[in-house]
Amino acid sequence: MLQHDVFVFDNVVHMYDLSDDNLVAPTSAVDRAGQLWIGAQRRGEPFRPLTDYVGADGYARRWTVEDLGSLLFDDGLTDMAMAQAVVLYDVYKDGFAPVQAQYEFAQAFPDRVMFCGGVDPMYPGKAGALAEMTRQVKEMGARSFKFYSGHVGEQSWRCDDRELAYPIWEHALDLGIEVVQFHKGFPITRAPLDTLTPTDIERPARDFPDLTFAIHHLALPYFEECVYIAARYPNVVLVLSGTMHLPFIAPWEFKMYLGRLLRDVGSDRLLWGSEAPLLGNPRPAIEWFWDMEIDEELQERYGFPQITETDKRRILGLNQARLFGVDVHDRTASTSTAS
Amino acid sequence: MTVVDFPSVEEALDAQVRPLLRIHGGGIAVVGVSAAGDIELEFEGACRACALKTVTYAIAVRQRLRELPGVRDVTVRGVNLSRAALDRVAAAYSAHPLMIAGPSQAMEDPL
Repeated sequence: MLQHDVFVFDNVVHMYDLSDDNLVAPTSAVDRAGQLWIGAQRRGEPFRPLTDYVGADGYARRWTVEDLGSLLFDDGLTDMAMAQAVVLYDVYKDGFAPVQAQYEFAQAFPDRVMFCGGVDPMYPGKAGALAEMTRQVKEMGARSFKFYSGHVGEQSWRCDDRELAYPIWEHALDLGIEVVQFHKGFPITRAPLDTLTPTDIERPARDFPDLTFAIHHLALPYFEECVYIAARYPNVVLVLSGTMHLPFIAPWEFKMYLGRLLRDVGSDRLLWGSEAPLLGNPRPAIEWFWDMEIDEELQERYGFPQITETDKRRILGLNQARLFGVDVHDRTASTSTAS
Repeated sequence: MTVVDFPSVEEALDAQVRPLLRIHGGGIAVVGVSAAGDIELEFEGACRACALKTVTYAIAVRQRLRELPGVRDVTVRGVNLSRAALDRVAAAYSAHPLMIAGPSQAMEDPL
C-alpha cells in the first residue's frame, strides 16, 4: 500500500498466453511473423521463407500466477487488481489474455484479484457470446467484461449495433454486471485504426444509463472524441492504461492529457491501469504519479486545475473500488493494523 | 571483466523481451554488439509503427538489457529519444529490476 493508506486498485492486469500452441495458424503467423520477415529482407539478410519466422524465438510458456502475483503484490504497491481477458480470437485461439488464465489468477489471489471475462459476438456468434457471458458470471465469478471489437478481417463490429451489441449490454445487466470495458484506440493487431474509434460507445452509454462503460487507453489517437463522450455521459469512465508509463518519456505530454481530463471530465471518472506485466513492476509509475503536479504553465495556459491528493487517491484506487463495491475503509484499516 | 556478446544478447531478448513484444504483434532484432558493450537493435512487426515505441524502447528494452553485465548502452534504429527521458527511466527503475528471472550465467566472462 502506498504511503500506508493510499489504496491502489489496478483496473487492468493481464495473464498472457503467448505460447505457440495458442496461436491460430496460419493467419496469426502473419501477424506475429510477417513483418519480422520484412525486417530481415530490409537488413539484407539471406532469404528465408516467411514460415521460418513463425515461432522463431521458441518461446513457449505461459505467464504464471506466481510471476504476476509477485510483481504486483510483493513490491508493486498494489492492493487489488482486475485481471482482464482479451479475447483476440483472430490471432490467438484463446485470446492473448485467455479467459481461463485470468480466472486462475483471480482464484490464486481471491482477496486481491477480481476476474474480468471476455466474449466476442463474432466468435462464434451472438448466441454463443451470450451463453458464454452467463457461464463466466455464474461459474467463474466474472465482475465485468472486456470487449475488443476491431479485427484483422471482416469481423469488426460496433458497440452501437442494435442487433448485435445491444443484446450483450442487456444481458450484462440481467447478469448483474455493472461495468463493461473496451479496448479503444490503437489496435494491437493489423486491424485498421477506425475499427476502434470510441464513437460507438456514445449511443449505448445513452441507452443503457445503468451500465458503466469504461474506455481504455484514452482511445488514443481519438483523445478528443474520448473527452467529449466522457464529458457528455456520466456513465462513461476512462482508464489510463497504456499511458501511465508515458511520463517517463514525455511528462509534459502526459500532463496535457491528464490536465485536460481533470478539467473536462473530472477525477471521479479516471482509473489507474498498469497493464502489468507488460512494463514490469508498476511501482515506479505509481510513485511518479503520486508525486506529480500540474505545472503552473499548464494551469495558466489551459486552465487545467492543479491535481490534488484527493484526485490521486480516486484515480489510483477509490474510483475502481466504488465501481466494484470494495469497502476500502476495511482494507486500509486492516493494513494499518497489520503494519 | 564482464563481456556481452551477440549470443548472450539474443538469449536475453528471447527470454525477457521478445515474449512481451509479441503480445502486441511486435519483435526486435539484433543489428550489432560492440566490444565495448553497446547494443544496436531494430524493431520489427507492430513495434516499428507504434506511436508508443519510445516507451517500449526506453523501459521494456533498453532498461531491461542494461541490467545485463557488460552492457554500456542500448539503441534501437529509428527511435529518437532525449537523454533526459532515458535518464528519467534509469532513475525510476534502478531499484526495480525488470528481468523476471536472472539472465544466463553465460553472461559472465569465465576469465
